This record gives sequence, structure tokens and C-alpha cells, in this order.
Amino acid sequence: MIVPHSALGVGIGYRRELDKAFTSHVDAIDFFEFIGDTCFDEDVLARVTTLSRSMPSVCHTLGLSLGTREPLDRAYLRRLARVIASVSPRWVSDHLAITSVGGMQLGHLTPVLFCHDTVAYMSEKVDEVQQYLGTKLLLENITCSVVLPGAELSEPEVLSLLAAKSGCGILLDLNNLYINSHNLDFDPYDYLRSFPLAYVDQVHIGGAKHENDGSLSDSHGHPVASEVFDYLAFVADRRPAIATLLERDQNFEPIDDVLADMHTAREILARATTLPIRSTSSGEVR
Amino acid sequence: MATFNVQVVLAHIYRRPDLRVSLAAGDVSPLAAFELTSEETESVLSLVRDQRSKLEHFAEALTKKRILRLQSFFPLLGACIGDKRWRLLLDDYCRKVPIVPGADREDAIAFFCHLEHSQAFADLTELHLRDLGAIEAGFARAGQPHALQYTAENTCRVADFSRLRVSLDPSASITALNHDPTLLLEWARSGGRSSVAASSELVHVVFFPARLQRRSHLLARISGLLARILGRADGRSSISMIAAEECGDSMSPEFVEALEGTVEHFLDKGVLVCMTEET
Repeated sequence: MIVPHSALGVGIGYRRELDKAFTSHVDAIDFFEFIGDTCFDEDVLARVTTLSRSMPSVCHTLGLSLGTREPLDRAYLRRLARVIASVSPRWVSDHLAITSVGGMQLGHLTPVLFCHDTVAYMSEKVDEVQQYLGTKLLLENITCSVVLPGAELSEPEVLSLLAAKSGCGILLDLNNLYINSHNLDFDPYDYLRSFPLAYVDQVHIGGAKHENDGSLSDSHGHPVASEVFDYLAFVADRRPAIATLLERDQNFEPIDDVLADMHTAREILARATTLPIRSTSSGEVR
Repeated sequence: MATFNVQVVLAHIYRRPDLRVSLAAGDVSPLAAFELTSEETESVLSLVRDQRSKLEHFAEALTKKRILRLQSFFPLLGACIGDKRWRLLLDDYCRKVPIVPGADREDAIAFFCHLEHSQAFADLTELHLRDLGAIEAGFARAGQPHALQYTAENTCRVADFSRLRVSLDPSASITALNHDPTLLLEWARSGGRSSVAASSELVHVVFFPARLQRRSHLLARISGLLARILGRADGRSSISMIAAEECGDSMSPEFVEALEGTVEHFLDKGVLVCMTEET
């Protein structure tokens, strides 16, 4: 079977610093991703809403904290719903992560335990978000140097079960995979081969920073590593024309460097062949 | 490890170095308040014991991200204070104050409140830094979008001014924000306390103190820059707002160079610049 895809093309995350690029290089941008949380500011919401009239958009959020074992923050959801109503993105994405718990804001994405129990309570929360917002939710893999003990499942298995159970999609962050495989020393292709690619609606690419201690961190301010482009080729061969988004949060200039990464991604998508695809019951694509 | 209580404990572990030290030493007494089962306690202990360096690395990453967000609200203050002292002040805040619930802006405002009351800040001999911090905290409070366009990259030259004892003028900058550029130009022509030039493209404002206005040779050079600014914004190719009046006095070459470079640099970035020479 040929897995259906969204054909959004290659996009970039909207940041105020990139405003000019959205005017002067509009041909290089097929779609954009905006941070839902920043649109709680009326000025940003107005700008993003205007931009959404000229090209497709997707929404990325940071504050749902879907991995927390407590009810959703309804006030946050209400504010988000207002943004969604104004911009009408194709979908909303957040992370397989915890960002707040018991009233504490962690200010960062922290890991969940990969187990059946997590799948059970998270799928309920995912379902609730999708019902409330009236749009599809995508879950994204995060970077983390810590592996919580007691795991029963792998990350791809957790995402696969969540997608199957709640009907959500997956945002596969290839830069996060690059960083995790380096920092935690595992084979990224083993990960990709076990990944439920049939559920993947979007991928993130971005730059990583080499830290002094030899580790990698997700800077979103450096050129995309060749390894990440290799992963994109691997995914694109199995999931053609996957919506591919460049995350860039700093070092916006020279803009040609940013555009070059998008161009490379576009070339990879164009080159991708439609291999015979077999989708398993768990969403795994071979 | 998936229960709510464990998630709360993990959140504390990520944020509190003292808790990580206690648990690594086998002291579980700090966990008593969290009502963990013995199995959960053992699981938490094994995490701290077996992945101590990874945990420290992760905790450090959390702090780094928070500091990056805080720095984005105080780029000028950070540049003027200097990397080493600035990092100490940020570290001190992050260690003592848990992240403020809500948006980054609230954390930034809380950071400056903390800073104002800290001994380290009181010990700073450059008094104008207080004004600078107050202005940037004001931007954070107001959510002033143009002000928030400052980045570490486009404020690098401000460090030159910190050495030259140049500070911001709070009253002037705050008064000027959101004013129509033509009003600012009229203000400058009226011979007010500062000379002001502005473009309407974004908010480009350059303030020069009255003392500087007497240095015509400097102003002649600066006026060329200002002409380009205004020309780019609204088609005017020259300005006459700065009167040429030879006085024979001269500014230091370093000051002139830094001033010109900074004006160009900031304007290319489309940000606000306000400067007043400290007297």
C-alpha cells in the first residue's frame, strides 16, 4: 500500500526575526509552523493569522504537558483553542513529554516512562485535546540524556501504541534522533527501522551544537547535520513527500544558510523514491 | 515511575542539586514527603545512582535553556555587565528561585526583581547598569515587541560602550517608545535635551546628549549615517537636524568608532538604540 501523506512540502518555523524572509523568499517556503504559545500575544497572533492566509500552517505547542499524570490545563487549552480558531492550522503538535507537574513549570521537555500505563493515560489526554480543539494532534519525540528506569516499551513502540489508540499522528524530530543516538549511543537506523512511519505526518530537521563535553545539544541555530539529511532520505523513501520543517531559533543570518538547508531537504524529498511499502498492524513501515 | 508522585519527585530532582546530592549519597529522607512506595523509592534511587552524570548533564541543560530565555530579555544589560559576572548573576537566580509559573516574561521580571535586591547587583560599581536593567525589565513588562528583537548577536558592540561609560537614558528612551518618528524628528529640531533621529521603517531611534551636539565634526559623520537611515525609510536623502558648529573639541577616536559602528549595526538589525553619554 502507498501510505497517504500531507504533501505540505518544506517549511520553516515562524519566528519574528524571519519576518522579512517570509516576504522576500516566499517561493522557498511551502508552509510554516508557528508556536501556539507565542500566539497568546495578540500582536503575534495577528501576524500569524495574516501569514496563514498566504500559505498553509501547522501549530506547534510547548505547554500541553501530555505526559503528566494529571488533568489537562483547561485554561491553557481554551487559549490554544482561540489561536486554532483564528489561524486554522492543518494540525497541532506537542511532545511526548512532561513540562509541568503539580504546579511546577519545568521550562523544558522532560521524559515520560515508556510503559503501558503511560500509553493508557496519555491516550486519554490526547483524545481529549483532539476533541476539544477539533483538530489532529501530533506527538513528537524529544531529546533527553536520561533514560528512566522501569521501561517496558521503546519510544517507537509508545508512539505507535498512542497513535493506534487515540488516532493521533506523529511528528518525528530527526535532529532529536541524531542527538539522542549520539548522546545515548544507539543506532539511529535501528530506531528508524522500528519506527511507526505510517503514522508520521511531519518531520522536524534542525541544527545541533557540539558541546565541550563531547555531547550534542539541540541549538536550532546551526546548519543541519549531514546525518539528519541522511535520516530524512531514509524516511522520505518510505514515506514520500513527508511534510518537512526546518526549526531555526537563532543565528538567522545569513538567511542564505537557512534557505540552503531547506533547499537540501527539498532535493531529498524530490529524489525520494516510492518504495514498495508494507505497513504492519503497529504502523511500522518496512 | 509513571505515577504522579514519582513525576513530582523527578521534577524536583531535575531542578534541585541538593536533592541529587542527598539521593546519590543514599539519603532518602528528603523523599519522605512525597509518599512513594518502596519500589518507587528504589527506582528513583537507581536513577540517581546509575545515571548521575547524565542526570547532572540534563539538569544543566534545563538551567541553560532557562538562562538563554532570560538573557533574551536583557541583552544590553548582559553585554554591559560582561559574560562572567552576568553568568554568575543568572546562575544565582536560577539556583535560588524555581522557575516562575507562566510565561518566560514573568520569569524575566522576577529575575530583575531578584537582581535589584541582590548584594551582587548592589556591589556593581557601574550605577548606570541599574537604569539599563530597569529599562529592559520595563520592556519585558510591556511586552514591547521591538525591544524584544534584541539578540546577543546584535548587541555585541554595546560592550564597547560599557567601557566608555555610556549609559542609556531611561526617561528619554521610555518617552520615545511608540512615538511617531516624525514627532521624534521635530523633537530633535526643537533643540531638546537630546538630538534624535528616527526612521519609520521600524523603530530606529538614536539619542545624543546635549554635550555631544557641540562636537560638530563627530555629528557631521554621524549625520551621514542618519541620512542613510532616513533615506532608506522614507526617501529623504539628507537631514539638517544636526547643526554644524565647529568647537574645536574632539571626542576620543574609540568613542567615534564605537558610536558609528553601533548605529550601523543596530539599524541593520532593525532594533531600537538609545544612548546617552554618562556625565
